Amino acid sequence: MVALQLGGAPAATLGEVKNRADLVIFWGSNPAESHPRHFTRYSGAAKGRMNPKGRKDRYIVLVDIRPTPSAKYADEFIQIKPGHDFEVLTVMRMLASGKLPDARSVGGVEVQTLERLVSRCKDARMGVLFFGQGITETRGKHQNSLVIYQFGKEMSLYSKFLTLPMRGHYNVVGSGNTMCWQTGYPFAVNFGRGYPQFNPGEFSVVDLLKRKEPDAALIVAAEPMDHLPYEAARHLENIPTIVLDPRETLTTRMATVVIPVKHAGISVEGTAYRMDHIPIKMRAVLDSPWPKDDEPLERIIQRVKELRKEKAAV
Amino acid sequence: MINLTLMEELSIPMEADLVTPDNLHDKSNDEIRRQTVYWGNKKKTIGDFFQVEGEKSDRITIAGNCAKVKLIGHKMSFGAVHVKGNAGYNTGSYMTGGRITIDGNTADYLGAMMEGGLIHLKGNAGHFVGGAYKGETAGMTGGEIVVEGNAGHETGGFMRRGLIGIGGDTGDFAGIFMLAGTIVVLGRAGERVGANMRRGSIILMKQTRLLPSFFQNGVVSTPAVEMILARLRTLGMNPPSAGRYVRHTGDANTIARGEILVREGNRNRVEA
Repeated sequence: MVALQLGGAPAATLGEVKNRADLVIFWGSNPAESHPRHFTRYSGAAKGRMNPKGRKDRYIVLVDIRPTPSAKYADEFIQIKPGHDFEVLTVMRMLASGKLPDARSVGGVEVQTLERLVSRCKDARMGVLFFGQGITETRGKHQNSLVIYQFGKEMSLYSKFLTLPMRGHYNVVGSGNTMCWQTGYPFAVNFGRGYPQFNPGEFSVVDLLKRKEPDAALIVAAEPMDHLPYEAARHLENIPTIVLDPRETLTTRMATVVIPVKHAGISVEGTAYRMDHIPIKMRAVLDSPWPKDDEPLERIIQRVKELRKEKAAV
Repeated sequence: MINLTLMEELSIPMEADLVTPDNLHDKSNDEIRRQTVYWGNKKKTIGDFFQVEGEKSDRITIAGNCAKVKLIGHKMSFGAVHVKGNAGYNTGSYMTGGRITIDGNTADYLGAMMEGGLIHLKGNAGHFVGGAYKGETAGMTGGEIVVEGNAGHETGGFMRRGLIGIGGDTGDFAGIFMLAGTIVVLGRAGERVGANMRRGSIILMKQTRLLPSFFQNGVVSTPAVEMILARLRTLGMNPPSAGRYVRHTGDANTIARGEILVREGNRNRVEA
């Protein structure tokens, strides 16, 4: 997300990928296990307008630190040393503009192999680089994503080239998009002074919790106890928490107050965003006795306003 | 001298962007006590948190552990601030002049977007020393930052002018996207120094693994480096005496006018 702001992303929807892409690179991502339908519906076996033969019309490259189960679906597997993604991509950017590094190999990969990959990118009708948490969550973090975006932009000088992140959780794009049009910022927004302030690191959840700054937490449809680092999650046990969730999770078990709500997309209709920022309308298929997410929130806001008024009157 | 003493340690952070000589120098102690600070989501006053003593002055001394006090010296243009303990986020951000001395440590964004003046930190700094806020294309555009301890990641990122001296080690990506200016690291710098730098100088005293987009091109012994080190000496640091430096230019993916000078003495290339 931060990288997006720094570099901009050459992106398109997955429909474009399905219909046009003849070169697909997965970097630090294991779609066979983490996005099982991605491969069959968009990036691998799917037949598209310019890919009538489906899988046979695509060349698939997998770049990772170990041969994952996705490797057997790929035409080429490139294994790099852990934590060397930034260096490898830097060299690929150099090779793209005709510069050779001093070294013969970088990050455990022969420069010749990278040269072949770069020339394949240049010759592609449309190349797509999907990158996953294997690169965004390792040493370098957002700078790794940034170097991918930069590479994609430079490749666009030669061919149509896209760089798309393999977003992890259901509707994570939706929360970013909604925050953006509501506040102007995608995440790490602080309303403490009455207007939105944005500063990742200062106002992002993990850092706030690690510094033990919050004295209460309202958690909506998230599972911090499972997903956040241990020391950050531990602080949630020491403060009052309100959790809105349809299921029983680790977070609801430690919460002070749990408000069960309807499962979005199953018991309540609404919009969810696909990983390529396409809003998808979801219908309600099952009925549920619980309220919708926004009902308890509206009531909390109303009650807080009433309490404020009472306090001001005193 | 205006003396502010933090009465009790905070757990919820406070934004004290009005604690600058610009704002307090002509105010009486009672007026200072009435100045606004933001504490969590509440609007409070300096008097709620600090004991205010002393007389009108452009020199402010802050005592107590201010690790949760953000924005000290924000946009200050003259005078002096002396923090006798730790300081929080964004200390000296957008500063244009004057001097900030901090005896303890600071959090991230020390001297971010700084335009002038001097920050002297005796402890360790967080990430983004002299850096740019997200979305900005240029960070520090002038002034000097001296850190006697260690600094975090992206020290001097997007730096455009000025001098940063780090006495200890730095994290990764020192001088990333640097446009110009000088960074001196007396300890060990992390990986990926100077990634995407356009111009500017990074002077390293110890070997580190450089990116493959930097090319070694000669050994230099230049008075310019000695002058910078002499300046750091006057600011209380302890850089080594004259020596020779192996020069690397890059980043090859940009206009490649930047240079990384690594002090000669050890092996010069660490294999990627």
